[in-house]
Amino acid sequence: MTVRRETTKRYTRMFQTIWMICFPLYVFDIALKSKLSNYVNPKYNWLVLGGCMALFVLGIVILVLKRWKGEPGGHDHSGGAFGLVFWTAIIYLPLVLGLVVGTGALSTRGARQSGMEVGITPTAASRAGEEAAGGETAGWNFEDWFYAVAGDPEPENYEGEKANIEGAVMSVPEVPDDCFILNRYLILCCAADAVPVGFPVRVKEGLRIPPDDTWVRVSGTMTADEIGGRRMVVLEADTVEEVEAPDDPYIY
Amino acid sequence: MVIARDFLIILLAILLEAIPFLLIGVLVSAVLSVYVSDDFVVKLFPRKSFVGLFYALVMGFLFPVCECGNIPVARRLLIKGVEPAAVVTFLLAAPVLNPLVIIVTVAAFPGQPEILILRLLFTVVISLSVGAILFKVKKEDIVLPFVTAGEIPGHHEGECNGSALHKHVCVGHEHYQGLDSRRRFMEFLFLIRDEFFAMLRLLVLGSIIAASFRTIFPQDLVTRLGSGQVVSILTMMLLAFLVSMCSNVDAFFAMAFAGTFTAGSIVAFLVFGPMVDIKALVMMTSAFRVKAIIWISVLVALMSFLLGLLVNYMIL
Repeated sequence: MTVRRETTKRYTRMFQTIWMICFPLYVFDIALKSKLSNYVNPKYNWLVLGGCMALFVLGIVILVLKRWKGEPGGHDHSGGAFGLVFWTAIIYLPLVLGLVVGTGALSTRGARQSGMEVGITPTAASRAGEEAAGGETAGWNFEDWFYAVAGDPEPENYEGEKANIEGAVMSVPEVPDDCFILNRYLILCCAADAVPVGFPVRVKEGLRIPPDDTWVRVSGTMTADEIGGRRMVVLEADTVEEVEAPDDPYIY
Repeated sequence: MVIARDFLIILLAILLEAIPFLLIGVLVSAVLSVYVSDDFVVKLFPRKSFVGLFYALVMGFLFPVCECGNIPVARRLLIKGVEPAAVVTFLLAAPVLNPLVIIVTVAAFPGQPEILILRLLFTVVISLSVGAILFKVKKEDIVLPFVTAGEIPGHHEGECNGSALHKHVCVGHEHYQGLDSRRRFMEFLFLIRDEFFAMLRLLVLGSIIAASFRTIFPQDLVTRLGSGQVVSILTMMLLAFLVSMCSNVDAFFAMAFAGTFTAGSIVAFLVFGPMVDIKALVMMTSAFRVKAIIWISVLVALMSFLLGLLVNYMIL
């Protein structure tokens, strides 16, 4: 094996060991900021954090062993100097991008562009795994409303009910100018399987619709109306108040 | 900035879910490589019987590793005289029919048991069918001459020779025999790291493609691709072939397409990917004739495609 190949192998392994320590630290930082639910369903937090902890410990042990005892031959997957640069860039991309753009919830951009039907779509409804909450509808959150409408989609059954729910503003061409979609994403496993779930909101004349992706609390009354050729539940807003994005922005 | 953040969220989401399973898979693979002899599996295998095909189906439960870990076992099976048809069935089935992949598929598609059931069922159907077809073909037409002669070319007593092929094949137990326990443990740890990164880089590359599909590519185009009953299947099969993702975590990649792509295309991806992809084909050349590999790939691709269509038009 040439000296050059040996050097490439050494650098590849050095970057790999550093990654094993840095990536878990990055994930722990996200978890400490209570932002892990922007990426994965909270029921899998233990798995994610356990996996990262194991990776971190392994990275430290390898670092210490390598320093004290040297490294055995092992198996080289580096693929030369080009491989070193290319694959190192690939595995470090999430870390570098994370430092540049920070954390946050999925924007409504993907849902806006996909041209999906508005409201509680059959795809979203088929994923609703829980029963609707009982009690006064004014106390229901977005999730409760979703489960209720997914379970019983007849819009007339909700006419006149009070609603007070939070979501992100999403404008789509299918809805009239005085309306927007109050959007959240439904995720089963993680943000990669996110499906948009939205209630059309009609604002009173003179009430300003905030820009896309602004988190708002909408208070008003549910009505049944036709939007984009489909009859659905529409929230007639009395107030639209801007709020901070919550720590758990999705429906899980 | 919004696109970059959405891209990162999806990329990280897949990685965060997949990495623990990748680690478990690599750990199991490393334990088997360093501490367990493959010979016990070889001894279990019937040598000349058609029953070997059915043994091959359940062997994945003894070797719960992805396709990379199965190639050395397959080579040893061939050299010990096991029918190539049964070994091919093992190679096609084991990356899916193992406990880790079952757990991962359930985790990636919670509340959708039909995805797991179809994945397992179609894997059994395809791997048994290909095995049954190959049962009628001469051994010499399937495997390389050294296999029929019963020897491993260039195999070493000491160090790896470092060739691209050898480094994938040389993960067998005998590589670690003769080492003292301390050295063997160190080899074990370093093997975990090396194998982890060999898989991780493909996982990250695949996740970048999945995140691009969800955020950078025009969504109306993705939706059109994903909703076409035929095009969606071909797209996902092509992605499976190119991305070459480890079967231990490929369900997380497929999950990113579940909202926009047809169910048949998701199932076709989950069935076809572990059997035929660039990485697996390259590794198969260490034991099988190129012509045989092409025929096996074509058969698997055709069956995966047709079963995907069946799902789209008749099942889901």
